[in-house]
Amino acid sequence: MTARLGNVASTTRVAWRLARHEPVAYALTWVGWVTFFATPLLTGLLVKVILDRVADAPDGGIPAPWGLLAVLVGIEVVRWTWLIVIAIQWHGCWVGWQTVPRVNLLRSLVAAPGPAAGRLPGAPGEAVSRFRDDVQDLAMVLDVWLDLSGALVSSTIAVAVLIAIDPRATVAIVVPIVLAAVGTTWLGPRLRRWRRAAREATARVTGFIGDTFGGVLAVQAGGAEAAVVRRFASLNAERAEVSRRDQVGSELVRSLGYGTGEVAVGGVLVAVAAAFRGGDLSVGDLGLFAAYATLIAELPKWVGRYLVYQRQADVSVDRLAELLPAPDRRAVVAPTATHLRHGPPPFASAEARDGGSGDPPPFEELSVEGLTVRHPASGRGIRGVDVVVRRGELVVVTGPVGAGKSTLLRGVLGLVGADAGTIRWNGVAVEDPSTVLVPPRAAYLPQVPRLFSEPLASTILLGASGEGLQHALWLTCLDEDLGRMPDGTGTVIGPRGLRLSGGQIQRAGAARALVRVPQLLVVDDLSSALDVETEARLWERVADGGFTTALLVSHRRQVLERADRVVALDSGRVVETV
Amino acid sequence: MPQSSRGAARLLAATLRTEAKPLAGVLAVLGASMVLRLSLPLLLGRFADDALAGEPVDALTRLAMVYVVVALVSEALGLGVVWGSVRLSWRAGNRLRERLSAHALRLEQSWHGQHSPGQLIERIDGDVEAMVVFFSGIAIEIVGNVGLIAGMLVVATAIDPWSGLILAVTAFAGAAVMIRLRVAAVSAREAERQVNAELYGDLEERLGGLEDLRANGAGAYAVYRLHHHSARSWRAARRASLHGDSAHAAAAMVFAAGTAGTLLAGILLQQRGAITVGAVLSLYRYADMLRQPLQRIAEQLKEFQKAMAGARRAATLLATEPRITDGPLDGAALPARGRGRDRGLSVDFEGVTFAYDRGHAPAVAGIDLHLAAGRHLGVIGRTGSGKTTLARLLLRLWDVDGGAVRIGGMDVRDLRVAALRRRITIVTQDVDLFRASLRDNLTLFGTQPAGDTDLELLLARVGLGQWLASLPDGLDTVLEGGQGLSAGEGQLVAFARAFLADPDVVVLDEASSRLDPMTGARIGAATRRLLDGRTAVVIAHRLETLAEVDEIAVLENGRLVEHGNRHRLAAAADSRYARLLRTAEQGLLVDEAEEATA
Repeated sequence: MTARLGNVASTTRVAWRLARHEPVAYALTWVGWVTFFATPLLTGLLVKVILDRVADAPDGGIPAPWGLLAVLVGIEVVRWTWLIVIAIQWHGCWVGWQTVPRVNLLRSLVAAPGPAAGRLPGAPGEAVSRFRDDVQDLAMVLDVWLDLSGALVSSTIAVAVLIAIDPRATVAIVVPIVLAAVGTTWLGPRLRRWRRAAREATARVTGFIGDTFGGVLAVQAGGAEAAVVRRFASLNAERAEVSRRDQVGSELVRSLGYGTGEVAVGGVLVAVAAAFRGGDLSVGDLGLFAAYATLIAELPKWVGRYLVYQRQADVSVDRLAELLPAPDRRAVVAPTATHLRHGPPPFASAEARDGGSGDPPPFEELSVEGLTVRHPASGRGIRGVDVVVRRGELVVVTGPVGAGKSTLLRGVLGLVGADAGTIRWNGVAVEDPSTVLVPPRAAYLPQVPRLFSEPLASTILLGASGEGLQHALWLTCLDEDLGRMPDGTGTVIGPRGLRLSGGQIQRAGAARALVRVPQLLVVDDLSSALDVETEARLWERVADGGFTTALLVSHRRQVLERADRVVALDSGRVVETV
Repeated sequence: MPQSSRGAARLLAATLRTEAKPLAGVLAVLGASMVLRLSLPLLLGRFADDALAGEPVDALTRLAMVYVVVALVSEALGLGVVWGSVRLSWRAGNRLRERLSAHALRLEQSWHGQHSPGQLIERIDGDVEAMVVFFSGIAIEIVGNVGLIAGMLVVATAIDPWSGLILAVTAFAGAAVMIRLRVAAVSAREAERQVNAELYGDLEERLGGLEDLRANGAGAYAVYRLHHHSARSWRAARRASLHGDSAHAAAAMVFAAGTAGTLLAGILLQQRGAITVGAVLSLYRYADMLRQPLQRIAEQLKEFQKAMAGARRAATLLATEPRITDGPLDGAALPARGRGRDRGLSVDFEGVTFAYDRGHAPAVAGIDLHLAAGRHLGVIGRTGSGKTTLARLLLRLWDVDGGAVRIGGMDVRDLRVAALRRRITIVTQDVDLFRASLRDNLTLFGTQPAGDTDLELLLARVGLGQWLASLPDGLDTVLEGGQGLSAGEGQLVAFARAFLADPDVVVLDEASSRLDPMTGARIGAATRRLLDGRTAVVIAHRLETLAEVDEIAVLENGRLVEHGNRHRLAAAADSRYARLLRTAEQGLLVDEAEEATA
């Protein structure tokens, strides 16, 4: 089994906890599926009665069983109408099962104490796959429980009914199906191995194509086309072999589920030949056996799927738990409101300040002592840095590329974990800067701010109240750019919208920080994408606007001249404080 | 039919034609398995009739045994069909993959400039995969299911025309309802996909901007957005389900009505003595069997569309004509290889003009240059001055727009491409290494056959002897696409590759510009050995790389502005080369030196 992280709740437990979020909804869906699965038991019985009527009819006949046939159609109509209801109900649950872990994880990533850096896997594409694929894997467990329950309940009832009619026939049905189930379970791990081998072979083939055409110059210039195609063919042949095994294996499993039903019917015929001949069994019984055999034969399929999904979810839940500050499988599915039916309540701007609402006491001083941050990968970072920012002061951090300037800012804000050092706000030691040095105390403008695909106003406000928007736009000189945007502040920007210039992006990021009216501005090198003139005008307006306390990274002479203090960094150490 | 669809159909037909025999075999087995499956309900009915007619138990048991055997055999045959179709579709699919990749390798550099390796993976593997998936399972299944339905209708009609008619109507109505409603559900499904795409898109962006969110206290808002999108997703999913599952349910109700109708017809007929009770049972089983194959067919129409789209794209790729085509002459037309130190071939550019895009400014224009066999030419000029273009024209990675490129006196366009490239080799600053063994990387997958001892000697010659000794599996060590190899080592591997090709003309395109001085010195020694006795064109950033060439050519904006003996140019105070040399003494690269002297 996989080694589990942190809290060692089993996957079944985790899934059960998730199901209990909306116990009524889950129970309804469960009852719905089980009845849907079990209805064919009823129609089977009905057909038996009809067939018996027909077979037992004296010559000359009885009136056609109109009533029974009408009931038969009625049951089917009710059953399928019922399906529509439970399918809709199920789809709601399906989204709900995925929403709970997503909300928990996102909330933890954006707000839980401690640095978020390093908790997410490298590329955002990979990160989003946790929120999509791994969460789906977990939801699949709850789903397969429904199917398995339905199949189990209906099979059990079917077996009970069959035993009541003829125990030998029942054995004839159950034995091949149990054998099939054993076969499926035995094949399961092999299938997974074969599937993995097929995937690896596929990866080798696609990797080879990628390499070949990535280096197509070398191939063509070296006249290696024929040799490359030969090699490609041999990789293809290897892949075909393992893929064939995989595909035929999967078909074998399918066939074990599907074909066993018919074999079981044959077994019943063998077992009951004498009883049937003797009149102990009727034609209707025969029809019933045939119908129930195919029904019970579904069971191995669901058992197989249950095992597969369960194992997949084991891995996925671990991967989800890794996103939390301390891996915790249970916390992934902690109780949380989903707001699915009516949507979330209107966003209250006060909440937008993660640091809490209400005005904090006035800012006096931020002092950083002996701050040490080491990047685990490169071993670089900053060592023992001291910085002090008092009210109304402009403190500028400067130094060559790679000196650790950005790391210093991110370390102060708690965006990266510090290995040593104390940060004091108004003289009080800050335990977790990542949740304290946020608006209204501090706001941050990174070197390359991330704008999101939404209207310009939203990506600046990010939930803050809109009162300060116009002012923030003016402060950052963005008011002049608005005229060139099709819908003003309503223009959708970002990766999926209008592409802004580097300078516009930085100024939008600055507006994002300023609109929060922080006591302390933390700014990482505004000059990298702004021309001298615009930057000067921006700083003038910002200073006039009352934002006089700032910690910023810059190389610009004008900025350095205005600074109250300059901290020069080199190779992660303070070399000079002026 | 539009051109591309016809091309796709032709391609599919051609791909399958080679598999005609196995395909016929698979279809025959499929037919047999279907017949057996069709016989099962009949056997069941017969069993009931015989029992009611008072046949002896032995006979009944035999009949039951037949049923078991038929069920087993039909299942086994079904597996056989899958086995056969999987085999043949992989064979055909791989042949098509190889054809596509061979064709794409013949296409010129400009085409490859527009098609990334990622796209080609999709074209060569993804599209074919869709076709393989279709033919290895779905096509066969559709044929099988259509056959099964047709067979059922025939058998049912043989039992009784009325019930056959009812089944036919049921099949038709069920299929119509399924297709009609499935189409109606498409827009709701599409809307659901759209909402989910927005949900994941927003999540991806916010996860990418996690620090911006945290430090500006905007976390709660990100969570709010997730709630907002999730609620939309919830509504969209339920709506899509209402449409999609209604379609499913409506079709199921049609089938249920059909089953009841068939049963009724059977009963009425049995009452009149037209058919037996067993026949009623058989008819009932057929009616029940009808639903599944129809549902499978409806589900798989989508896969069919995917496969056709793949075939269309594959046909389009195969229809792309390479612009660089073989000339009539093979290598024998070139002057024979000399021995030892005079292996070179002369190189001539005669009034060469070339533009990457028609109508755009030419990359090189009016280049006239003669390089005698065995001489070494250094080419300098700023980025974009046309140096690399000259090298590529020499290798015929592009064709000139005007003038001619000659090698050994022959126009390169008159030669077979392979014959040309056997005599000329290029080493560039971007070393293309493949995820394959070191041996394969050196011999280019066996293009240049060489024994292990030869290869080891060769690596020692370029200064990689120690490196080779440090490799865990020696020549069999798999190079992970250049990872774990320093830039210098990669460059030396490329030199070794060039040695192995044993060309008459060597082109070095900025081959050492990225290396640190230490490695540069190792490369220098290797370069000298490689160029010895061959004609060489050396393109360089650093002037010291050109310290040993015989001639210098200076390019400016695609024109040859200076060409002559290196010593003479260096001595002439007013030559560009001499000026560059003086500036370069300050350690500047050619680019910067040119800026400085401009």
